[in-house]
Amino acid sequence: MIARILLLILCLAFSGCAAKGTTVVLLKDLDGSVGQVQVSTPAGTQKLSAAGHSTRVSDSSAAPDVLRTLDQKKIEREFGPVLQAMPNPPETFLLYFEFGRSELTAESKPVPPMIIEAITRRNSRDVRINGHSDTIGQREDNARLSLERAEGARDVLIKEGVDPSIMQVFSHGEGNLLIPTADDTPEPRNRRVEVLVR
Amino acid sequence: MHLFMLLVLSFILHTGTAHAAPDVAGFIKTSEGSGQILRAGDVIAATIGDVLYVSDTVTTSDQSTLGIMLEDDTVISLGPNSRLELSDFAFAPQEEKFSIAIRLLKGSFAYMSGVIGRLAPEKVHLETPDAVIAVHGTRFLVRVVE
Repeated sequence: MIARILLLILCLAFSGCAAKGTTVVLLKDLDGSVGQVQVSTPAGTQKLSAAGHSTRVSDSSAAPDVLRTLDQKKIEREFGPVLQAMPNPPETFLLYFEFGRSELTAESKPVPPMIIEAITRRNSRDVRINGHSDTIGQREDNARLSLERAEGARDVLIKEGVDPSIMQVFSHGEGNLLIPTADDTPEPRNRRVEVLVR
Repeated sequence: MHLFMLLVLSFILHTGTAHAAPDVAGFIKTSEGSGQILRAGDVIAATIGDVLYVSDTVTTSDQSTLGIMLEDDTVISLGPNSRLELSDFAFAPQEEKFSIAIRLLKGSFAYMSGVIGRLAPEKVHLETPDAVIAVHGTRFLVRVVE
């Protein structure tokens, strides 16, 4: 008992010495918005919904502690190395084609040079070309259509000088809508090709 | 000679079909110091560009960190002395097949949701030895002390 109290005092004196358990801290998204995280044990749930919100669970039989709000400085101090190690999220570019043709729309024409700039800057060897469709028509037809779209985009990028060996083509069909719609809804903004430079 | 080549070829083709390559779940994107991938009893030194598969465990030691990107663009990093198990992963939007199950066993982690977190947040299962964490499309930090 005395040993435990001594240990506790030592831990309080040196903040680097953490006690057993799980701590979760919510951060702002890169676009500035804030999502939500729920931390649960069989004994209770705590909902984190503001940047810096933090809770701690000492073990699975205890309920999560009441929320605290950590400031940026404390977060940096306690999580510096792991934040530093975060890979840059992929950069996303959207390409749209003229209806029923393999030619990019006027708005999309300046995008391939931007893609090439991102590949060069990140020294990326991992470029994903995801074809998408809207929800009009059959699911299988949309899978095929969106694959054709993605292959068309790959051909455009090859022509612009991107190394084909770093590109992978995927078809998401109607399973990953940019603008959520009901089934059988025409939505030109969903008929897109997404290029991810990873 | 030709017969031998045929035998080799048929062997390659046969094993190729009998043991279809497991699906790629993600890649190592950043690495400092000596991180490791534990796979089916093997210990592999983690380097940038290495592929991760379901059931892999990833570890770091003193002064080492790793950054992972999963196929749905979920991004996770491990601070020093950390251990993470990728229990399950599936990402096939065409078939609306989504799954992420990760165990954060010890150490520090930063997590940023990807496409699955946006399309099917209920399919993201994160757990530590103490708690389960439900994610609604966001970025957060976790520290687990054993």
